[in-house]
Amino acid sequence: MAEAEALASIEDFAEVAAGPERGLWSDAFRRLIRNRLAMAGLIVLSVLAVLAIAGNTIDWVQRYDPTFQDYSVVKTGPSWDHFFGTDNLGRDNWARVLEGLLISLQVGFGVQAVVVTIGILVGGTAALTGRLGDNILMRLTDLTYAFPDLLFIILMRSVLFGRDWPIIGNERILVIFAISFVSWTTVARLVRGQMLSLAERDYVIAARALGSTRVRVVFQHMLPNTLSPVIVAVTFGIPIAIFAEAVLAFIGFGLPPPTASLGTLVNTGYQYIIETEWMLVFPACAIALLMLCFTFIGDGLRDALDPRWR
Amino acid sequence: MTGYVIRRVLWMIPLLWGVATITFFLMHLVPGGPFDREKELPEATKANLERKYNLDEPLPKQYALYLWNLAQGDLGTSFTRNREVRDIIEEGFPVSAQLGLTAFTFAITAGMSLGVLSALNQNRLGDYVGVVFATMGASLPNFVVATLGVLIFSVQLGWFDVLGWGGPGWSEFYNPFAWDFRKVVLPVLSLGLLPAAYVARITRASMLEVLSQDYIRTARAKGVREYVVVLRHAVKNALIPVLTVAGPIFAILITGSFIVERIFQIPGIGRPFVDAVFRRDYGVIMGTTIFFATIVAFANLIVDILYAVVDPRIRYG
Repeated sequence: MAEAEALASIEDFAEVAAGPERGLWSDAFRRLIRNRLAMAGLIVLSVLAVLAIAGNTIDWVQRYDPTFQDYSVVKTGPSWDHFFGTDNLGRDNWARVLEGLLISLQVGFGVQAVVVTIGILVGGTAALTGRLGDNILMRLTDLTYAFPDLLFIILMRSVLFGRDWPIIGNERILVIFAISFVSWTTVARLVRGQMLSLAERDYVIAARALGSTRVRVVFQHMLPNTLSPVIVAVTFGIPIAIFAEAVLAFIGFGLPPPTASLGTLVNTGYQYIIETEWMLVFPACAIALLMLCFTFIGDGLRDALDPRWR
Repeated sequence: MTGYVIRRVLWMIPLLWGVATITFFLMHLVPGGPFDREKELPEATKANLERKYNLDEPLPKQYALYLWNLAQGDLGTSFTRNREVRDIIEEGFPVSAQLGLTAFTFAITAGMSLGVLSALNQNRLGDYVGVVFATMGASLPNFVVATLGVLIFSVQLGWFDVLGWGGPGWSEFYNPFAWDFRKVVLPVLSLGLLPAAYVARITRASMLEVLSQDYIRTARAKGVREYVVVLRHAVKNALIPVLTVAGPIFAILITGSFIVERIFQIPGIGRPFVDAVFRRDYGVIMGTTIFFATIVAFANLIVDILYAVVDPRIRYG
């Protein structure tokens, strides 16, 4: 094993020495592709994502309406008619799990989109506006970080729900915001730290000395170099967001019924645990599988983007 | 060092004030009030209730009153149960704390042993088992472990009970015979598995780094016995990064226990809190949030100070 690693690193070196000039990203991409676990995670995740999207748009994949109650098949086990069985109201579990899967993915990616926006804005501004701005924004970050996550998410969710919002009235978007407002602190701190250390680097000083405008220095030279730790943080942030949404749904505080979030499904499944274990097993395994994929991919990305970590 | 500790302790005051302020104003932004029922209460009753809980005062005055009470350690009153928040916490928290502490002990001991064993067997079978456990465990949410655990070990195999908490209370906390293991194992595992996996990962990484240091080679070269090298020279130094995650783990355990308590019907603080959220009981929500924020803040403070004590390389910036 050690030999193989040594060989691999020699190969790396030889490639770099002999091959045409390559950037950080293509190097990282090669390392990622060579990581078997990360690739497995990526493949399984793609299958799940395709299933989730197809299962909510194409009729013959979805097979049943996830809210349709057929009282002739209440609590039947997995069969060719109902792959994952049916629930206590005769709804098709397969269709409901696919709906939950899509919600989890939407929430996971949606939260990270908001988190990256807030994080780069707050972290970048803190790093670039001098001492006072830095102090105010970083104390705000500390404050947000001091809240116990779940409690703050529940609070935000209560504040956001039950009003008429323009544009963002969709409940899924509200859940995404409720989770994002708690989770942006990691990215903000990362971006600030990176920016501060980058500002002292020779190439940034050189760019400034050559007369680049401030805007150009920030967007051309600094921001791209903060990206790789942010990408890793985001990949690990996705399963955390998925988990947060599932927990919210599990305690009955997520999306209102009949929407089938995976957390809601696990909760109902748990209530009927003695008679209908399939109602619990499929959604629970779906969440675990989803989170496992992101962990593998995150590990792989971290190793690929920051070889010092190995 | 002393200056650093004092600064860190003093920083707690504005921090908690900030938490209290944000919680207060968020709570008042929640649409609907605590006395909204499906069947409208008579105007007069509602007015009386609001007067009783000072909800008829202007917002700044309510805020001032609330801060004043808080400064005296009064966490407020429940709006719907006619009880002090303090009583609710005093009733539920000891159970939650016991569950959390047990899970914490499990997470640290299991995680560290696994991490150390993994690192000592690097790239051999034991290591792979450890790494697989650490990766899987880190992606299993507590309620998935709990519900599937109940399904497999209680419903199918009948090994464990699933209702209530089997801890013996504080007086007999250290007496293993006082524990009802049929009730304790599943909740503690569900709560502690994820942090244990997290600790195992970090211990392994940090052990691997320490084991490659020169002073380990020196110790071995001068003939120090292997177990002394491992325990005294390696593990002790590998502990430092583990300490940094103790704070976050504490926070994970606190919120995690809300879920686990709900699943296992454990009479901790989780249930009254979730109920309070549904009933828009501002008093309980604010009180609990501030209570837990204080605990997390103290945990982080202790970790930071310990960290500075253990690792002399840290600058007290």
